Amino acid sequence: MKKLQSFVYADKNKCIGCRACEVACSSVHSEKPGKTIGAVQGDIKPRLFFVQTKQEKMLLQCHHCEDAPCRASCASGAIQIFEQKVIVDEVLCTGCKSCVLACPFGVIEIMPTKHKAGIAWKCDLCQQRDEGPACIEVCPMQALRWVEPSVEAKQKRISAVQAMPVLSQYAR
Amino acid sequence: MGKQAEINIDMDLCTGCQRCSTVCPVGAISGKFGEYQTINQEKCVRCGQCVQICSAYASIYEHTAAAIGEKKKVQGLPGDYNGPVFAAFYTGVYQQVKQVLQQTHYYKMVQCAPAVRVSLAEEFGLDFGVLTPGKLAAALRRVGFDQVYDTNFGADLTIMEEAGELLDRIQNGGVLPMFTSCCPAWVRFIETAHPELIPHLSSCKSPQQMAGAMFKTYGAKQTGHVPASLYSVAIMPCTCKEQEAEREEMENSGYRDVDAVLTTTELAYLIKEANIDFTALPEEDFDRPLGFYSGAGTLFGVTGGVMEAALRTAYERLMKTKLPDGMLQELREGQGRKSIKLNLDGLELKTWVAAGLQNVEDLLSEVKKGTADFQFMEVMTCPEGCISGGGQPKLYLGNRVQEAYDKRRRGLYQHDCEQTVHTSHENPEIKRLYQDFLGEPLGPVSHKFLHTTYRQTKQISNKK
Amino acid sequence: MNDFVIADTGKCIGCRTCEIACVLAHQSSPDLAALTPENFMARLNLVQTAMVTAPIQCHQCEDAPCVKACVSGALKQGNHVVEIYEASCIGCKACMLACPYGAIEIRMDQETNKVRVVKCDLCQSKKAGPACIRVCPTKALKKVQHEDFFKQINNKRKHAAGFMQE
Repeated sequence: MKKLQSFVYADKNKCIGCRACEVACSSVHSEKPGKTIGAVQGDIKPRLFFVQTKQEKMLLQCHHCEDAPCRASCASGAIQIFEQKVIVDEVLCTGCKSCVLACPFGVIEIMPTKHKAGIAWKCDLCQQRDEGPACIEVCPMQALRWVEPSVEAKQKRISAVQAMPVLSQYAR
Repeated sequence: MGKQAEINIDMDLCTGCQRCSTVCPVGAISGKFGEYQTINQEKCVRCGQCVQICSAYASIYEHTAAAIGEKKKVQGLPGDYNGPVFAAFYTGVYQQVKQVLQQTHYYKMVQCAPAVRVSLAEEFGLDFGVLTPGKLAAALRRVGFDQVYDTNFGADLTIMEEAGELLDRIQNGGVLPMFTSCCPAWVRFIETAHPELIPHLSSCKSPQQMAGAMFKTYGAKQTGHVPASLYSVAIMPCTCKEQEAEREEMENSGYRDVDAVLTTTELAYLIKEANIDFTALPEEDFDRPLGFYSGAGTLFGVTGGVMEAALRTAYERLMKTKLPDGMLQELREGQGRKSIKLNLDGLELKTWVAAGLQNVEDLLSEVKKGTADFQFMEVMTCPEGCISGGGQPKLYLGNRVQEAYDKRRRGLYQHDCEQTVHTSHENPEIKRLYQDFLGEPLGPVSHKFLHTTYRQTKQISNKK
Repeated sequence: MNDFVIADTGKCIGCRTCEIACVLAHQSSPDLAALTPENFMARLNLVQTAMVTAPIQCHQCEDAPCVKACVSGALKQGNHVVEIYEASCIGCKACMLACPYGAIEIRMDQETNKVRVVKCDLCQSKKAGPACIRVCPTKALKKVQHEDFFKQINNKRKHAAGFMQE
């Protein structure tokens, strides 16, 4: 049975809206090496997106869908599954914007790079990074987590069953 | 908005996460969670820790390029600055300095704080804490400075005066305990929140100001320039030093000790704008006489450094022998506060070293009550002293800031080892300065140029 | 009000016949031999812990978090059930995160390469009703019909009121 693709998810009850995750994401995907703002410079171009309403704050990023509409919409074959992640091949991508329209979460943007005027920009689970996702590492509130969907579902089922004996009399 | 030498928060960009108000040592930041925060400018001591921690920024997904350009203007950032624009910002005097550097009718002298040489390279892609004093000097010449002097020389000078002042207060019943006065945010804190303790502040100027005063007097003589044609710049890891330089009284020579202060990050930008490849620069020396320093002077950049420098000199003076290695090891352990007890030829000396204003509240209460059992205290506002200052390179991965502090600290202690002279009083240029110009520590000439006064500013409750 | 199926933990022996029945009922034609670990997609999950054993399945919530989380219209409130529109599913797993019971799974059908939403549908398309209920050897599973739901609550109140009148 194919394992479901993992992704990073924000807990909106913990998020304080500091945007440190966006800053970190941008820097680890930057073409320039360096650990400080002055070294890397350039705009902050994150692949996860801060959303704020009067009541709530949250970060949204790619779900690495099993039947990803971005992949389905990509006419140049630039979006493929690579090591259980939905990845944009920056060489093949033409910046046609179909995936941006197709994504129901709105978590793909078009971004210029050193070599291209505009390509699809989305969370790649920091596939190039030994330490894994930078956003998870930097969040001061531990609001971002790595989700293993089936593992989390199973844990919830166990908790649910443990709560059940209270109900069972009504099943009679 | 964006007043010179002030720190402000852009209410448009601020998301109300309140990380700034959590790090503010004086409770100057207020606002509701989730709404924009504001800074009480009277309470603010300009330490810049809020600027360092702020990660809310103008997102290109939310603002047009024109709108972001407007914000850059308000924040005093150069027009072609292409980095991110954060919510909490410090407005410096970058444009002013850049303009002067392009002119020839000023003779420009510069000094750099100890912390700068161990952090500047980070802005050019190197690791945290890489020591590059040689490239720093080379870069300063290439951006247009005529004399590359150094704050560490000023630090040595501060030790001469301050060690003398401490002994004087002890021996002649002066006000004790004495507090260091080199951290302008700390000085401002005392002036605004604890003005009754002003007499405890050392009357010594900070190394920056002492060096600047010497530029315009002794330095002018040395180079054969009239003081009016001199332009004195300081490069600091600090967002409070510009305000210190602007203090009314800082012109005992008739000329401003320091005309302008740039932060480490502003200097890095200046170097980039001049298209200088920093990492490819040759190693150059600082100019003498006012650029030669001891290892003690370079320690000023870390918490515990001023104390160690002062005790090295005091110990040797009184005990007539070198301070044993490792005797002051506890002072080297970074954050928080620690106390040292020494017996100096019968003189019992108890001192405190503290980084972070919250760490001295109870000690200040003791001083007010008259129950303080110590004679000398070094206070730095920033968590590990100047290496962690508000004007230092800002990290992308904010969670790694301790690693940056550790490496910068180690770099400065390494730099101390590399010097040929390890105590301020052994610095030959310091000896020559006193011989040729100042006379003796705490003498009338020293007093005129190297000492200062403080004043009570608006009385504010010091409760957070 | 939605109908739903619930288990009596006092009766469940953990035999998993309900799971098998569920899978068979949702095959195009029931075929035990065709079952493999890869294609065994039961819409209820038996959970065994030290103290209690029972299957977990969709509660057909009135204010279903899975419906709210679904961005592609694959889950909607239907005829007394939370209905699945599989063709719309993109496998984003938001429903999996949203469901507090872990009662939804997303599976990739290896043969058709289609994504499947695996959630109890109350066997609405089957005349005989929920397969799990029919096969349970201890009659541990029961369907609560929406019209009975209110009757049950009312009876409880009358019962309680009766007690108090004594």
